[in-house]
Amino acid sequence: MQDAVAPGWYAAAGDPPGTQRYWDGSVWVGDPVLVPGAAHSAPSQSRAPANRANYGQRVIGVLVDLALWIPSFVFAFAVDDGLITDSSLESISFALIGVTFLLQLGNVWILQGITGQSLGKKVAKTRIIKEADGAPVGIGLMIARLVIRAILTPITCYLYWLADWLWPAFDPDNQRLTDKMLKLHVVNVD
Amino acid sequence: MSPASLSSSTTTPIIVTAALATVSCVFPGLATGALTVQASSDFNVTEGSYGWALGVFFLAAALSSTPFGYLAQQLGPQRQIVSGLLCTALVQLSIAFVIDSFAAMLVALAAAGAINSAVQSAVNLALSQAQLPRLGLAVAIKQSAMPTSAMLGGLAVPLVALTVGWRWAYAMGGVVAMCAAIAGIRYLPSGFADAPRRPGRSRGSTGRAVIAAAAMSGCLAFTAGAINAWTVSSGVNAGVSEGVAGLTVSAAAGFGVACRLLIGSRIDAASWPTLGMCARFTLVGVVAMAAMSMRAGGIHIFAALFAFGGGWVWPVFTNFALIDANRERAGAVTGVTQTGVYIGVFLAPVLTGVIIDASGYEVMWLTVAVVGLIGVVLSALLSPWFPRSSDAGSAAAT
Repeated sequence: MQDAVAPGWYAAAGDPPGTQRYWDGSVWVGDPVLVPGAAHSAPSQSRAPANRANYGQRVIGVLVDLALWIPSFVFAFAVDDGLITDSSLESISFALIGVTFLLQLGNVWILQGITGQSLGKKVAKTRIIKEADGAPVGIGLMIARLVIRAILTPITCYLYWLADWLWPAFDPDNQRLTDKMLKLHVVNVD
Repeated sequence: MSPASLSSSTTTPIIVTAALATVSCVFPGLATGALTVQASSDFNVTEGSYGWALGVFFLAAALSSTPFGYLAQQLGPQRQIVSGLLCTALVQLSIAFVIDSFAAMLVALAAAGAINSAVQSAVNLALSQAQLPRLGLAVAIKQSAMPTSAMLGGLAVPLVALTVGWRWAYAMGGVVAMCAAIAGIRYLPSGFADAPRRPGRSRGSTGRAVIAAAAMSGCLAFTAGAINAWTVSSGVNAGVSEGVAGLTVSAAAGFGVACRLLIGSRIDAASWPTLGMCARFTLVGVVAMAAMSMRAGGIHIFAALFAFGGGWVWPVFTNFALIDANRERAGAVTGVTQTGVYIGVFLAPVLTGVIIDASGYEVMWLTVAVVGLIGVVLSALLSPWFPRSSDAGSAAAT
């Protein structure tokens, strides 16, 4: 049963995806026509900013942020492998890892949430923003971004982790999957 | 050329693909339940321990359902469904040919559960975006795929597990999932860019209403989990022979599927409030669940029919109400409410098992009936919050 629908352009069941057809209030009129910009299966109206960061920039940003872990891990491996034999250094190794963890929280959650840029993103000259208004995302959304990944990664046996990392390379909006959920974009600041 | 005539010949592949995708993704979980005896023996774990495998499947689905619902809105249904089907095919084929430890099995079933939640919300979005002239019937067919998948899981024991080995059930599931992925590429809507909102259609439900609907779904799913888990053993405890108890469940499940399809055939043309009618149907089932607390074989068999027929048709009503009231964001909304469903299904066998051990079947069924009654009340209270889109259109026109 078809409820009363005012005349206008609508997507008709059975027509090719990305097309619409004119409904005159009682019957379909004419053939389906492509909706501009929808020819290639755009799921929703793209509101992606024009200055989106490319995949290489994003990789650089992540690698720089990860590099913050290098000193503590090098120290930890040195202690573990016996290169450093002083047993008291074990506690220093754990402390160093703890300090680095706190630094990363400050870097990725607080600094990036407030300014839109972690240290890595500063180096890569990118910024993460909200789709709605282009403003920095805030600490809450940054935590949500990490928590979603932290939950979905292990329960999907790392399938989500892999897809999340690779998706921007193929996505028309250059977004990671998690950023799609939260409507965030990484843009070029140049 | 009316919308109805246009759609009747072209929408069938969409509905069939949606149902096939639903069956393919929920099959690993339901097959795990059915194949417990054979698989637990193969992994050298007790059947009780193997029960965690099913729990992990639904727990992973509960944790991932909401974010994947929001993702479906952004990716579009086709991409999420096809990706999910290919992933579940990979997981099921891994179970069939690669996995050789119980720990690895748990990891695989967690992945399968998360993939299932991703596909379910995307299928709801696909049905919504396809603008089907009979959405209610489509939802009923899709929701009938769930108990059908359970029955297929049961059939897998004599047809596959006892002949060529339990792992081949997952191999067949993987192949079916790949076929569903191909059908998804061919028939499902990829999504519409800037599709105009239909005149008079509301902007959708409030966040508070959706969360309340998730709580309602959780209560009702708890009852469904209980009747699926305990109808056979409770029947035996009440004096019914094992064979008759098993047949009772099969007949009741078939009766439940028939009720779903019957409701689906009527729901589009009906004028009654969807969740209000859901409350009435489910109340019949809740009374039947309370009757199952009586330790009399005849009553148990009779009550089981109504517990399945009345108490397990709510998914048709709730999904139709949610999708119909939230056409533009059906994926996100049902992603949230499915979280409640998965939590209910996860908790049901665990908590009711504890109650049975402590106090017996009588107390367990009465507890289930009370939880179901809470769901019924919530359904009745929420009914005005999820008006039919046709009502919204009429209201806007006047």
